[in-house]
Amino acid sequence: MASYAYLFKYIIIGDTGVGKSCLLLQFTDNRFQPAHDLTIGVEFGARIVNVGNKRIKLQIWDTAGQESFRSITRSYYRGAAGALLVYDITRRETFDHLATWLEDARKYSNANITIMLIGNKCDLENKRAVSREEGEAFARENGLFFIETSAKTAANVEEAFVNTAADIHDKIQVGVLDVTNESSGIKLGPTQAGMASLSSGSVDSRRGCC
Amino acid sequence: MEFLSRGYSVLVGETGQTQSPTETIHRLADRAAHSTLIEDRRAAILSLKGLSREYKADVGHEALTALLEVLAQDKEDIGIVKPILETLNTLCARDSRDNPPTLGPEFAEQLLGTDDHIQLLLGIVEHTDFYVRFNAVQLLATLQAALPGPLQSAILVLPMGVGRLMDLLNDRRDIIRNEALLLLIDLSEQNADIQKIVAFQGAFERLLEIIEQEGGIRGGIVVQDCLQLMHNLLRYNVSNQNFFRETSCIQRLPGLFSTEVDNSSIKPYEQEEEFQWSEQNVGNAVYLLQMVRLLVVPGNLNTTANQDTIYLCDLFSPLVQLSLSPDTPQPVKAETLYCLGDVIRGNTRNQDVFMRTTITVVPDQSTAEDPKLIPEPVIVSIVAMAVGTSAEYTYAVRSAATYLSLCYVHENVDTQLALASTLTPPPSDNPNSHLDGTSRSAGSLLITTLLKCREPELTVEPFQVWYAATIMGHILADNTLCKQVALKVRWGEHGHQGDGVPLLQCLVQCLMRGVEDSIDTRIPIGLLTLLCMWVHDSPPTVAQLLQEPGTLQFLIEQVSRSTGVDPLVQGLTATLFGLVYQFNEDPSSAVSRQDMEPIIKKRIGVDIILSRIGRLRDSPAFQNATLFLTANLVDQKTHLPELYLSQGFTTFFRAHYDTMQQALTSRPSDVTRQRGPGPSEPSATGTGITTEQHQAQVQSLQNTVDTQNQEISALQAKIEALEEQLAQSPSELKAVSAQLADKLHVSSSPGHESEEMVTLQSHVKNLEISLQEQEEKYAQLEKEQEDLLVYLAEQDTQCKEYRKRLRELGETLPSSDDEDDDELDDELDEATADDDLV
Repeated sequence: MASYAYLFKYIIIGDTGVGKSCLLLQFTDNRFQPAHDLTIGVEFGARIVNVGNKRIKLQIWDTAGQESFRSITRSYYRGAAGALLVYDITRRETFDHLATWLEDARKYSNANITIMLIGNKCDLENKRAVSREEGEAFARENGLFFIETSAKTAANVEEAFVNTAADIHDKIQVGVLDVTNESSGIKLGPTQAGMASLSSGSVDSRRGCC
Repeated sequence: MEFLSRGYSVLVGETGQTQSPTETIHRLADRAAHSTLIEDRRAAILSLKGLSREYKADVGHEALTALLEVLAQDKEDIGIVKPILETLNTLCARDSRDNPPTLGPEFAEQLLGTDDHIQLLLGIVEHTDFYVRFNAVQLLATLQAALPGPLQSAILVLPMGVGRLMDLLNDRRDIIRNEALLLLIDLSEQNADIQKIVAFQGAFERLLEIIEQEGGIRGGIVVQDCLQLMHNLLRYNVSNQNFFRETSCIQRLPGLFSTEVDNSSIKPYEQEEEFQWSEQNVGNAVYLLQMVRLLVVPGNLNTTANQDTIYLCDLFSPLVQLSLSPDTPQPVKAETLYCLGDVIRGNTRNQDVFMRTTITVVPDQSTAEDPKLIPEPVIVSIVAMAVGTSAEYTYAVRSAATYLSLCYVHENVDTQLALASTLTPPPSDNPNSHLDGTSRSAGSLLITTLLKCREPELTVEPFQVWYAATIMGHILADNTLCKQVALKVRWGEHGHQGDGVPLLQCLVQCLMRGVEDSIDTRIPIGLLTLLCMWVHDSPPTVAQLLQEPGTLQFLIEQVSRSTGVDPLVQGLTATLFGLVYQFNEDPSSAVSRQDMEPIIKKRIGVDIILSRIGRLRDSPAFQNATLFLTANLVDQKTHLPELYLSQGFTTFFRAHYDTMQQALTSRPSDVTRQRGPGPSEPSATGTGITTEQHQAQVQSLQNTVDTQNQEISALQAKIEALEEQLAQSPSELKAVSAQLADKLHVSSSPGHESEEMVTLQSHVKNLEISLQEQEEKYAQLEKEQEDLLVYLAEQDTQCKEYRKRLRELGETLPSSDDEDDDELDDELDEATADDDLV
């Protein structure tokens, strides 16, 4: 059965057409769909990843990038532990809009949210309009993680999601994030919740049978 | 006292003259807005509140703006906020006494005019004072009721909007929590965006928690409210359905069905009090069951995944229990049966699990001397319910039980066969053994019900026959093996006769009686649909049907009659006639297709037959046939539900109508049946067939052999893998049981340990089931392999034959004396050698 140590909630944000839904699809289903309809509102996906020796369940909300859905998207910031902020390396304007997105994220989300800046479509090197260094610089200035991905070739997609999870996990370990606070976007998995009520002696054998 | 006199002085005016209400209200509004003393503002607002019921229009027009201003300005002052909220509530509510009646919505619109007001209200909702919070939630509900739409959009614009309302579900004061529930139900009903945000904010878990606290279906109306909100979130919202499954919410459903009174802490060993179903409990249970059904809607993409989860978390047990318990109220029973049906429909594993589920029947104490408890398959009880009488069960329950039976055999040849095999009467000497409840079977129940039509006094209800015929039709549908089994069933007239009459002919007798004695049309309709599904694609059945000379005569008469026949019965008879003609190709048939042709073309006329069938197809009964056999509409005259045809039958009809029509209109010799890709029959003469064609045939056969070779090796690999898994399973089992034993040793505090025991036991059970499944799969694969080998051998012989024939036709082929060599590889090499030569 799908037991896990923690559950993290993510949201994916960024301009329309930068490949948010494709990143999610590549991550959850390992496939790429070149012709994807516009996301309406918000879609949901989930997968379990390993960080260190812990299983972590990711619940991911893929938001619509269009301006008209902006206000709805804002409702999802609170209650997310991680945000993937995506731009398209072949379209300069999607990079230029990052500041607006970041402003929203800072305003409406938890102070301790982990934000991963993602330059997507890195397979289209010949059409590149935003250099890797610019992306890195923006991330550095704003305290974000940075990675370039391709939802098409799956390059770095796994890393984008897993590295975000690793950072959230670190924050839990050092006590920056409160696991019991619902709005932190983190929850204990069923295994751990069960462990709390069990005597410590029986924990190991219990694991073994699952 | 002071503010009373102050308010009063405003009313009477300074000179003691009475003022018009409008004037007074205008003054009060002015005072509420502009007085510097808070007491004055408070007094003015209280007066406005007092007047708002009687002079709603005036207060609204004169004071609404002022009230909203004061609300924003004094939002921390409970003494002001509370009466303002109450006044606004009165103003915006719809009231039948309003003149004009749109007054409430009008003021609501004004209030909703700017997002600021909603933001203000959502801010006030956070106030901890009970009355303030309560009135604020109520006002939001009033606004939503008066003017659906704007409030939803306004809340969506505010990033914290839905979150604030969700927080209210955590309020310890039940009244506020319940009020918030109602508000969220209204807000989420038509708005997918709100549904998703509500779910994102953790609604499912919170709602399940509340339901658990309230005692599951044993709880009160709050449980129903929670379930209704969950309905809103799940119905038509695939994303939320995924989320529901992914957050392990399905796993929490079985516990909610518990009807056991939880008093373990007080008197653990005492017999539990029996649960008495209240009307509310019935409502809760039905809502919960409907919610489960939302997750397994037939044909939805998510259905299979949800069905699997439902199986894994053992939702089966409570469902089976509820469906069979004599204490379960009938509406709950019906919904449970539907739910079970949806849970197993189209899911082979769940159907198989259901097949293996048994219950122990406690025999009636008055008749049974030997109280032996005999396990009986659940499906038997279900079929018994379906063919039960209206004195025992409502039509809703019987329709639901029939639906479950149909789901059980839906697209599953194994469950079809399992039921078909029980059609043969038990070998016991006592034909009435089914009566004492010890050895009844699903098949014998169906047949005894159907054959009651033959009795001189009609003791059977029309719908008993209809349900039985519908189930039996679906057992036989598209399953050659089942049809063969059914053909062999003979039913003894009086029990002890050796032979008896073939079941098929018994049914035709029933049909004739049903039509001639003009009993309720459901009897002939049910029987005809059964016969159609039986006859289709089954020449042996047609042959047996035509053995009795009267049968064909009867069909012809019924189809040709121009008056006095029910159009549905006639249409179905015409369909049966068409199918008999189409599949009349058994050489032993008493009347050949060639013999039938003049009857069709000259005596009845093809157009007549087709028009009869067309009338059936266009009838409302045909068009309105539902999947769920809904029995809601009741015929005023007969008091029977308006239910004539199952969707299973109409689907069957639509799928096969075209080929039947073709068969009827073409020459008898041209009627060809669509067969599988088997070998074509050798033509009578070899003339006209060129060697190239032969060559092509040999080549295609060769290809078949090749692909089958591949399939065989793939299957062998699979078998190996399964064997390996099988070998591992016992060791896993052993490990688990060892752990179990350890647990037993360690167990000192019964609380947690027993919980663990249960999980471990269920693990063991799951493993056992999977072991059994794998064994079955293995056996099946072995059988498949055998079949394939046989097929291969056949192909080989044919290959040889063709080669022989090629040679006869003068083709030079290398001598292959070792043709009887069984080595496949040699055969293949040779074939390629043949190719090279030609």
